[in-house]
Amino acid sequence: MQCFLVAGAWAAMTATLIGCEPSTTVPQNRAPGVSPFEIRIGSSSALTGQANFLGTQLLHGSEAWLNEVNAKGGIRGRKITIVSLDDGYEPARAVTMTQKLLVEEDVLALFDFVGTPTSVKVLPLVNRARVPLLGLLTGAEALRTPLSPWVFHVRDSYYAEAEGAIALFVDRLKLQRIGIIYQQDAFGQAVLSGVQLALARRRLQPTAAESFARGTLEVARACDAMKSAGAEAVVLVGTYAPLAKAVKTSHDAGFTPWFDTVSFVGTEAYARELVDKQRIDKANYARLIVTQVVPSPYAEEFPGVQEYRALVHKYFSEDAPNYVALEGFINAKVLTAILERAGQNLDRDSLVHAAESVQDLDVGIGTPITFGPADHVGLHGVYYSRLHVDGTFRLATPEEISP
Amino acid sequence: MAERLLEYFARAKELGGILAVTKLAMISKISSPRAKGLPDSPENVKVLEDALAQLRRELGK
Amino acid sequence: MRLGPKIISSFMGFIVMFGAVSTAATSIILDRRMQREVETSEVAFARSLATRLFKVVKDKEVPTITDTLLDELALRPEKLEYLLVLDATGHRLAHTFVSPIPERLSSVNGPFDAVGYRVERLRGDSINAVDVSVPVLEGISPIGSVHVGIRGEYLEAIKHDLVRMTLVATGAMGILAFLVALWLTRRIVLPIRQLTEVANRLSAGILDVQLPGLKSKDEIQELEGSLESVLAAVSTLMAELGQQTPIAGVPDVENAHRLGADVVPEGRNG
Repeated sequence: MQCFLVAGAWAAMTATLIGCEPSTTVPQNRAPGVSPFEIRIGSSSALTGQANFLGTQLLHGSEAWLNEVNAKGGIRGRKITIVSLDDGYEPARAVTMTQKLLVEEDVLALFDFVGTPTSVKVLPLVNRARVPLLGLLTGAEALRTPLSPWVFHVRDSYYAEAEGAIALFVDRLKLQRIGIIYQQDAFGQAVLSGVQLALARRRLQPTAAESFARGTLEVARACDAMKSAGAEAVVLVGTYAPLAKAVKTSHDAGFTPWFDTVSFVGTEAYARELVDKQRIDKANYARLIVTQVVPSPYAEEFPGVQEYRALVHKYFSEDAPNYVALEGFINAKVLTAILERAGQNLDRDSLVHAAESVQDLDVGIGTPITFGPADHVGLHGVYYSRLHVDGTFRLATPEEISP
Repeated sequence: MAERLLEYFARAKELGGILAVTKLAMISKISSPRAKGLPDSPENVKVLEDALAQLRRELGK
Repeated sequence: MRLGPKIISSFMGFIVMFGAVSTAATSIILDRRMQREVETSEVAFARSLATRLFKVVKDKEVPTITDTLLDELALRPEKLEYLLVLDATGHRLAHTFVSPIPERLSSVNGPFDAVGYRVERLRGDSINAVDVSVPVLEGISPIGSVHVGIRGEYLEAIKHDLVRMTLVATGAMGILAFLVALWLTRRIVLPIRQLTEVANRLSAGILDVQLPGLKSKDEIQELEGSLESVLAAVSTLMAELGQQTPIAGVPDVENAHRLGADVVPEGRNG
């Protein structure tokens, strides 16, 4: 009798303990965004607003490749669908659009996001949702360090572009007085930090650093400050409209330093602003530099670039070739290569594993793409482009760029 | 060796026969066979002396 | 059952029963305390959020509401499962989900009771949370509601930890009880066993026995003293009877048999 009582009491306690165990939610059975005939990929980018050129061209470049892949049967019989939402380059909207993609649109992964403030705002959601995000049009360090297991960058960083610009100005052109005008947001801060680090490596500091309000053309005060400080070169950070205005304002005041900006500006849109809208004097074209993270969209020596031009002409015949669309094209090539490697049992985890296993992927641009568990940046390398007399930015080697 | 101890048993027997002897053994916790082997030490003598006194009281003698 | 195992199992049984009752009581008490904890602190948090979000809820500024909710969630990710804001008609304005919203949440919108809030347990269908909701008021009219989802695992983990601690304490007490019972067994049961052995031998007529000579100054020592008296009496009686003439007409062997000696009488074969 006593034995039964003792045994019964132990059973009661064990049952209580089991009853107190925190329960776990049941995982979903089907991988989101994957069905036998479709792979759904979500994109939130600037399709309207001050950066709409970037969003639309990035997507056009990607869709040119993806349409061709789908025309040939897709990836293992699954066609790729890009669900594209507009965040207008606004961080808060980027968050709600990303939520919509994850909660309502049933996407496997996120792709072709545009901008630093938007991507930085979305990063916590990405990490919480454990959803892969590939091909961001931003080189901000905040999105690269610390490493997020879910984010994969194709393009090189702003730090690399800043180092390229400072190497050109200081090491090549022997300039010492470098200023910076940047927009007041995470993007501006990111490039500013890169410039400061690159100068510090040469035991220099910015001669002047001035900001302007994001989304405005209020650059006059900053230009005055650069002139007053006697800057020999100015790094400009922002979207194409205020940057072109800054160049024009400086030239009108008789101040004609070297101007450099990073690839995010949207090179072709920047060129149109400078040439058509601001009507910069051609004599000053040669001092306008944009660092690039992909080769020229007009390059003849790279089969991948030729392929890009052919497919963009096929699917978006009204578009002229441009750096941003070429970047989107390369992003899409990387995406499909990863989807192929992930195999038939496709889900978010297998996609990440496949991405991290990409080694020396040749997309036809002369530089292979490699990822790894500790390296989520595929391309390394910065190019220079200079405004040519024909009103377009063309690639130039450092040796070709002289005072 | 145990002459004095055995005397107490003899006196008990005089007082009440076998039952008294048995009672003496019960009170003292020393049996008569065992008493034969014990020395007449003051402690042993006292035990039997006290036991006999108690026996007398119980028997009313 | 022997005395030793009886003592040990009684001790252990008591401790185990005590532990079971404590565990059950702790679990029930904690359930109630958790409920009260949720109702006081999380209702206050929900109300504070409702006050802060009043203007943007009224103007339906979804991105701003979402931004605020995500910032709040990031401050307490281990405790909060979700934050959700509904408009006056019960439609979702903003939320913090990053995966399809569980069906169960579509029905957590109802009239608020007299105390001005609702607490509802949600379990199943990929959600395990306690939903605490308060209205967003414009004067006395609700223009929406704020829902704070407390992780079920968070609440259960607290209870689980405390219950587990109770069980560990019970286990430790059980071990202690076992050791105490073991000690008691040695102090009580062993001497009793020894005296029982003596009594058994005595009852079998074996008078040549050695008492253990206990010094415990308790009832067991008294028992030993009594046994010693009995042993002395029986030995003396046997000796006296042995000296006396046997009862007339009764063979010696019968006289001896009366004292329980193990003797087979002549003529009576077994």
